[in-house]
Amino acid sequence: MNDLEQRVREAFDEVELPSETRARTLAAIDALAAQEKGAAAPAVQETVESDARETAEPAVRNGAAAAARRVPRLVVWRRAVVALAACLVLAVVGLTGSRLYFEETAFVDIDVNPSIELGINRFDIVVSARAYNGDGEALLDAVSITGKRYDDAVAEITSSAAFEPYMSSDAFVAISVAADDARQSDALRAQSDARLRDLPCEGTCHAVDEETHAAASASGMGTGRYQAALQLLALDDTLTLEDCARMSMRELRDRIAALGGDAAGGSEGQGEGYGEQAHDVAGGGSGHGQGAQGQGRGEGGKGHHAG
Amino acid sequence: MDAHGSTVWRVCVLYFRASADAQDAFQDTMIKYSLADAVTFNGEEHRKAWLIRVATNTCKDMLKAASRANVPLDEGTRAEGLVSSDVEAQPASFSSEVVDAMRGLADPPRTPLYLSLYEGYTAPEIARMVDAPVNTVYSWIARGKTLLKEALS
Repeated sequence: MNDLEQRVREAFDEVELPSETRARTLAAIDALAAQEKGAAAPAVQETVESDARETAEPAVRNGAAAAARRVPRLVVWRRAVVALAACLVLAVVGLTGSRLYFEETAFVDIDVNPSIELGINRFDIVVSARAYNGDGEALLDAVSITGKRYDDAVAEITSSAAFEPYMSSDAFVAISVAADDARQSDALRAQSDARLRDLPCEGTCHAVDEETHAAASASGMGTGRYQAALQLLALDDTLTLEDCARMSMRELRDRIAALGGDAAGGSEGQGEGYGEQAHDVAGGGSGHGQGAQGQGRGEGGKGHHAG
Repeated sequence: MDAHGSTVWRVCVLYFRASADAQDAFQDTMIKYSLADAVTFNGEEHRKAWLIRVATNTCKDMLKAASRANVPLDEGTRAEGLVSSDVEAQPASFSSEVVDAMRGLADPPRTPLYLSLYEGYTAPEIARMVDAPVNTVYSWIARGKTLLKEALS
């Protein structure tokens, strides 16, 4: 230790914290703690600017007072918690909103030869679309329907060039609506009916229960096609579900009619279960020895307007 | 406060000749310490280093605030301002030849020199405490020693 270091050590060793300063500082900290607990606000400031400070340089003393007035950490912390809570609420609202929007509450299967399924949210907006066969894929590639209202989506599909080949008068369009909410189901079917009426071909719209929809989906078919396929299989045990999946709706119905089945029966029965939607399938005469095809054509190719 | 009160006080004395200013700096530092719930100290040495660093920063902030407040004085208040800022006229925080000479140095090298000579910190430790390159700290200490010797001779 050299001389300079020795002198500095000795000099600063003599500097001890005055007991008065120590006591005043402890009082200031106590006052601050009391203030944080809700005691009178100026307690700290009074301590800082105590009477012993008359000789202090004013500007510097103001600096100390400002430091003492500084927002206590507890308050800052509370503000941070409030801000965080607000962020959380926003996030929850946003997530809930997006979940409500993207949640599919209804499925509409459209089977002609293309088989597609549209997932509809609670606001009747198409949020998903999937194809069950190659024609369905080609059709969905040709249109852009997600994010549109169901009514507009169906209009876009039926007016697209990709759908045109299936618009001939002997085609058959089956629309199946599966929805938990009866009101939404009715609304979707009403819109579907309105669209079917504008088409030159025959068609049907009926409600199906979720189980049937799930079974059809699991078989890789639209619900309308699945129900027709089941009906045909019951009449012709040489066929398989895969064979049926390859047939158009018209072919399925023709075969059912040729085998003496009631091509409209399945869908009509379901439709009646939900109300008035069974008027479409020329079903009035079904089961009386005439196939749906014959009925439909007999009524001018617009069998679904029979009701 | 019992363990490190004098350490903090010495830093305040190093910066302020006026006792009241040193007391304000000390009190501010201790209030900051009492509010520093989020700081986790790894032992007493860490606590001491933290307190020294906060004390030096507090003193520097007070000096800056004082210099800002002292600049815009007009004719009417100048005389009064000079009286109140006359450091020599106020009770001293501590006065001795060596302490006064240390206080008379510019900063830096005042603080690094003090930390080296009295608190016994090494140059790398001081570099971490004052956020400066180690070589700079070495040169501050060397220059500070020269200046202090000159002041004391």
